[in-house]
Amino acid sequence: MKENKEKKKSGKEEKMDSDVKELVKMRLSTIPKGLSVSIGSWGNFKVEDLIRHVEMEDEIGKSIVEIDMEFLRDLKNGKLYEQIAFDNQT
Amino acid sequence: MSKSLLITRPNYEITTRYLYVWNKEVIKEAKNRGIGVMDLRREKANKKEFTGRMIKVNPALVLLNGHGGNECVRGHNDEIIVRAGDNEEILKGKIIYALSCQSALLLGPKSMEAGSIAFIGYSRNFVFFTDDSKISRSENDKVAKLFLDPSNRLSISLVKGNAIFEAVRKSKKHFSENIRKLLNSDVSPQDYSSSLVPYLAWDMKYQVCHGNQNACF
Repeated sequence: MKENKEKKKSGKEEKMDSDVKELVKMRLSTIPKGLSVSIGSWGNFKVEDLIRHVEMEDEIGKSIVEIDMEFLRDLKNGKLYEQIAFDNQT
Repeated sequence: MSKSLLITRPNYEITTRYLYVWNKEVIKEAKNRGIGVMDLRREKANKKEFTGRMIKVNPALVLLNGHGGNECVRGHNDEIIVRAGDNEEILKGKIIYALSCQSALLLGPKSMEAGSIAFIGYSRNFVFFTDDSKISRSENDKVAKLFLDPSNRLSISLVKGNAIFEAVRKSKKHFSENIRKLLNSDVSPQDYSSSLVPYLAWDMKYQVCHGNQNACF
């Protein structure tokens, strides 16, 4: 039973949560048309390319999901506002 | 150590073109202050030139621009110019700022072991947005400016002789200001969008500094 739970858990971790994926894709679609993004050594991408990479769950897609989800977490736990408020005062 | 700076500016695709153009401001500031500038631009941003100039001129400040990885910085056409485990000792005794993805993760600490004064860089990918309509006039790209100006603040602050902690503070403050600007609903939706905030926050968060933060150029 324990082994099955562990297998199930690791299966979840390997595949992106579908809700997270849809959320990130939706948020990407709010980026203004006519913009592209340079991501590390991977190169330049239009927003529609990013949405496709998120859908494919490849390294680029995972990277975008990580950036967006980390932002949302930092927003929720107040870390982002702490940082920008601190930088405003110094 | 000579009070001179060495800067690499490869320019062979969109990302490097933006870094090439954006760093002109840094070079101008250095020259205005009478600082000797070794500008390894375009095809001169190669390992042979880099190594030769670093040995011959021994600059105190090194600004590396280009693609990279957690253990290296690349120059023109993706040629690796400095790599942990290969030639990081060339960074000994210098202050380095690398606008090169992830290089602060491994190359940063390795350069400290080799005797660098400080290594400022990014421990994850550096991400920036560009306006497709401004590709041929990158210097007018207000979207890229949101991301690249904070980086320039850091370089220029170092060139001005500010302590490293002060240069980093100014850079992060600039990132914060741009984030606040984007979150302000009054700005024009044409040039700015709060949807870019996660990426600015990411770059700000993963700008790191190894070494002596009280040192200055």
